[in-house]
Amino acid sequence: MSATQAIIEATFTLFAWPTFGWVVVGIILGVIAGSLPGVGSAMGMAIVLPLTLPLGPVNAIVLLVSMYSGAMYGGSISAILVNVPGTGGAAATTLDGYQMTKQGNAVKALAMSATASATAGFFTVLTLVLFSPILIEIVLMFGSPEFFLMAAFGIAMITVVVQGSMVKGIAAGTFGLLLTSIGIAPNAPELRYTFGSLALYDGLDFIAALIGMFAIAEMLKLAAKEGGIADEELDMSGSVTEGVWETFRYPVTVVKSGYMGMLIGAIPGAGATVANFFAYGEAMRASKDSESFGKGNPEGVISAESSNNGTIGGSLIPTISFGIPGSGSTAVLLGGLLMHGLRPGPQLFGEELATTYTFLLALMVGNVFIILAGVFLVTRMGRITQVNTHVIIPVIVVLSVVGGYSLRTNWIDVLTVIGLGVLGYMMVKHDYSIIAFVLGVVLGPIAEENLMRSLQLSDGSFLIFVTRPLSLLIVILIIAVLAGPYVKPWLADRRAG
Amino acid sequence: MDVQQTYLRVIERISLEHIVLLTMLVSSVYMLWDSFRFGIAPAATFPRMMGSVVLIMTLLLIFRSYLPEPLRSVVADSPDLIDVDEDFAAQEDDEETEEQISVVDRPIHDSLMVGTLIVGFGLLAYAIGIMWASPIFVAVYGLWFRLSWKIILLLVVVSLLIGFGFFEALGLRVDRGEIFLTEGVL
Amino acid sequence: MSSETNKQGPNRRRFIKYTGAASTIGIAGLAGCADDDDAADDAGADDAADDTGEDDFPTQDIRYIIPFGEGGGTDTYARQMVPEMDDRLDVNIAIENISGAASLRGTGEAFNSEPDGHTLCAFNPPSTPVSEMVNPQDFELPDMEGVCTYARTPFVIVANSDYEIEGYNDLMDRYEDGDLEVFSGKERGGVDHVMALLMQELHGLNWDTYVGYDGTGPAVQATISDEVPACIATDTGSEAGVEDGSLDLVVSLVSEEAGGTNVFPDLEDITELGYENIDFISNLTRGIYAPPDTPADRRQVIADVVEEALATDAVQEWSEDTGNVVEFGDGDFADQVLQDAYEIIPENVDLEEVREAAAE
Repeated sequence: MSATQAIIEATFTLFAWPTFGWVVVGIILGVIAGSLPGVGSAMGMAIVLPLTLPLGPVNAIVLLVSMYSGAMYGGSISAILVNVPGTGGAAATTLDGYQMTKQGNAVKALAMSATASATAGFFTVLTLVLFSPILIEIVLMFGSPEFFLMAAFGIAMITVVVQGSMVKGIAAGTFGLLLTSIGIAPNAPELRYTFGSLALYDGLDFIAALIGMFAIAEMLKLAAKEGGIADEELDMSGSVTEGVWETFRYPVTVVKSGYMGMLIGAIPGAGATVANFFAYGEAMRASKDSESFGKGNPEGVISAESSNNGTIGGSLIPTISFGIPGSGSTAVLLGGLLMHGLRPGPQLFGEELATTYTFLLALMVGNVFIILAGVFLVTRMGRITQVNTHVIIPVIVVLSVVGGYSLRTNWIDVLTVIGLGVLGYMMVKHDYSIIAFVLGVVLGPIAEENLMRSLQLSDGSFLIFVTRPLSLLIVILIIAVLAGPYVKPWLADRRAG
Repeated sequence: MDVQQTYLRVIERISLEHIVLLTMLVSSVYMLWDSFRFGIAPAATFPRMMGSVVLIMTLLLIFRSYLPEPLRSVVADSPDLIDVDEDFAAQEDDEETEEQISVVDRPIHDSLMVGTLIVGFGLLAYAIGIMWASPIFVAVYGLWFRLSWKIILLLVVVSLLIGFGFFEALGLRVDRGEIFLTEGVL
Repeated sequence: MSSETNKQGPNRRRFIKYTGAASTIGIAGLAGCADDDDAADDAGADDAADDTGEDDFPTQDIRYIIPFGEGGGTDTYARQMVPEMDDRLDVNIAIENISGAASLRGTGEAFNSEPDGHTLCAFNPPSTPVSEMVNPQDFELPDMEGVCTYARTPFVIVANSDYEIEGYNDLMDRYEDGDLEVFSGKERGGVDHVMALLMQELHGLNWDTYVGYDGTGPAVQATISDEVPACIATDTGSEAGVEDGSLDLVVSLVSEEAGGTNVFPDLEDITELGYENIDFISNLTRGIYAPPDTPADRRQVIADVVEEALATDAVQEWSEDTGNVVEFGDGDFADQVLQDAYEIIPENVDLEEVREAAAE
């Protein structure tokens, strides 16, 4: 199918009922999840994931990407109103956003955030769509050895980017990979570590692992925090229209921040949080009035909010091309793709191209609803940030457990949700990257299958990973990424010495 | 308050990190050992590769304070390739206040209590079905955290609705347990 | 096509060694079917009491067990057919996905259910039977009663068009000369692999290495990208590649009398070329089955409803739009494909050898 044909088909699918409805539902759910501090996009999506089972692949993915997009905006609501970013990607938004609220411009800031998010989101995804034919060519060059190496590259990248000791990151990531070897081996009828139980025949369910790591672990963390998320009275004043127009007075900031977000988002491991600060810093550097940043400068909010929605288009690139999610949200999205039988890589750009374009278009169109939400619902949305933590926790726990059970009606999945949730909490407490662990669990089957197949193709020789030019290139990249942090200071020392 | 003091002393002694490391150590050793019993050799390649890495990393972490200097800092310190914290990782962890045991003035740490409640919920759900275990879980949770009876009632209703929703939408038999109510109720 | 995978079971010897433990734990894993049995027996007693006329059937909601996940091929068919079937019955049909263990969890659950016609199960000979043969269970899958079949998926061989392979004989010569070495399809130890081994033994298709992929889609994709030169694929799964010229059709593995392939009606099949028929494995049949001793007239009621449902405009349109072929077959046919799988496959294939081949 040609790209044009696929786009036309995708347009018809998207604007037909009920697909279009799922865009709206997704955006609303996303905004809610994003604005609840401690919930955020990854967890919200993980909880909704089992519920998408009856929807069919197209609607399910449209719902999930819309949630992702909505949550990126939603994160700014609590950042602006109560100085607590709902998602990591809105951390820099608090700097000027909360100041604006204090100055009585809460509504204006929220409207600006919606407009900036939507505009940047629209253009970055449009760029992705326009460049997709090139992406398709690249993806088709990848064979089994390259897919295995890309999985390894993804894990390596994450262990370097996340905070904390790299050894801890590698341990967490490979432990995730190791756990996926429970159950029947890919490509050989061997049952591994099942203790003779059919319940473990297919191993642990990675969606259950995602729910445990993102929902249960986060809830345990949240439980230790002070009751209500925000107790203070909200001051919902300021003008909506002014906010919308204000945004368009800074077109350069919106575009520049959005594309910075897109570039940073495309690097596995570097998510919206990184992009958020980078874009904010750049806007401050370029501004003539950098002094006023942090004191309620609208440009600060605009740059921060453009960048985090910009990361969506970027982060989808490694996710849908190579199956390497760069963040928690894209890990869940990848889970959704696999759950609905859509494999990243050639399939999404070949026979399923129309599906791919459908959800990319859904992302673009969803931005309209972000603006609408920002303009019409914003005065009511403030209340979401005041929901008591102890109401959120039990509801999310119930949803997680029932969601886990619904995956395969297998109690092993409930055990996974709870067991890994508790383990995940302990890991977070001690800086063991749970995103590396989750990535290991998600990438494990893909990594092993492609490893085994590469070895079948090469008659068991590992040389296949260095004799193909593309493979060799990825091997060099992996080494550079892992050695980089240690070589860099050493080089600097030498130069200095 | 003897019980309380014993509890605090026990909690102080247990390091969560040791539990994480122990879990990884035991799993990797077992999975490596068991991989030698596989009938089909290629099926063992991947678990052995990963198991070895996990084992080595875990041992390095366990013995990091005894390692010679250059190696020790490699194991323990964080590299700064990009120096901004990430989406999930502990962005607000540092400010956590450990002195306070419970925000609702109970003698057990809130996280520990929630963890225990969740595990209990899982067991109860297995026994009598998720749909019937959920309202009990949310009610106990609400009572422990001193929520108002109105909110508790709301939580009970919501939890029943969630169970019923899954039952209706997915045909999920959440109304039956594995030990009691095995015939289902609905 | 679907993401449904047909993964195969473990070492037979090892499994027998573990049977004692495996069956008890297995039952616990099967959502407590021991308890279900008791429940079902009670229900059965009640049923027998007021079971005077067979006209009453069905009297309660029907449980339709899909031993595969949501969104897989079997599930997709079920979700198209069930609404139409619902309209033609006084009761509801509830789809229950009990996936996993190469469809053995769900079929086991169905096998142990009350045989009163209110429990049905979908599975696909010879795929599920091969799984059970490689991984023997404590229930007799061949005792399941055929209700009907609703679709058939024939297998073909396709090759990357750069090789300009002209038919099955040419493909065979290329492997013989050592021109080509690798042959592919779904996982090692699965139905495709068994087919490839059979072709090697019966027809002399001398491939050197069999490379397995996680489904027909990826295998076809790998053939297009020339990671492997040729693969076994379903007719629907290879249609797009053949149409755009990146794949060449080599041969149909299903004989004309067994229905051939509707997608490529002109393609010659192996029997036309004088090779031995392997229909018992190359013709995947999607069937509906009921627990052993389910009365024949009740099965007939369901079969009639399925036949009507398949003929409705809704299902026909869906079939045309998606390329998922529907084809009704009666209960005898459903029984026959199941029995054939259990009789002919062990005669022709040494399952232990399949395992060893997978280990190479």
